[in-house]
Amino acid sequence: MIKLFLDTNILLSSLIADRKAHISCLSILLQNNYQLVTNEYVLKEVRKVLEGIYSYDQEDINRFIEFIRAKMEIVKTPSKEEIKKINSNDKSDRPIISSAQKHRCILITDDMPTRNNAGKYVLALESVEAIDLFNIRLAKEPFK
Amino acid sequence: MENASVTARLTGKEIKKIDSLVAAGLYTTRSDFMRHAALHLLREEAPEIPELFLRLQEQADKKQITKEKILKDIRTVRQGLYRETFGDD
Repeated sequence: MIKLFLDTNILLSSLIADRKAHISCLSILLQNNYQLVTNEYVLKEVRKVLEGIYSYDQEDINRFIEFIRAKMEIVKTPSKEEIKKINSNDKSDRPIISSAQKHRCILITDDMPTRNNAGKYVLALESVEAIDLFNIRLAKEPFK
Repeated sequence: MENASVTARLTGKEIKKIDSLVAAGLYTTRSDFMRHAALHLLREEAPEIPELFLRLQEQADKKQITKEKILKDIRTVRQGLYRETFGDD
């Protein structure tokens, strides 16, 4: 089964209601055709961005993360030894690339530097590429 | 609320599988199968999830959060989290 490792930006893209231009986390989560993976490091980032930068309600953040935990396989943050094997221009991408490689996943990210850095180790795709390649159907606009 | 029909496009392979379940007598019609499938998924999904996502999206709109902003903010957070988790190596 194809395993997709979703980077933080893919998970947070579901906050944006206009889903025409990018993959919707909800769309792919609800289709069940692929095994979706992320790691604890990504979930920490999700929490820090929603809490520290966008000041979302704590209870909503908890529910959002619970939803992700229920729908995806969450792997451990790689160890310092594991991440040292990854050579990346921005070393803060190493925990993402390392987990995607260790768990034999295709990395889905819309962050171009991360994608370029990951290319040496895993197949890394932008969301639009993944939509085309895997024929992922986008969620419709929400009902108003 | 009144009953309503919905149309779903499935692949030939999926239709074939549904037809074999109907032929085996597990469901009376294709429609019956689809209704059971929908009910099964509706039971699985927590009822508050759609409201949660709509609420988060509404707030994102008010806060003018864009995809570009998300990418930039994640980069800042990621660099801090890396130092916090793995030190300055």
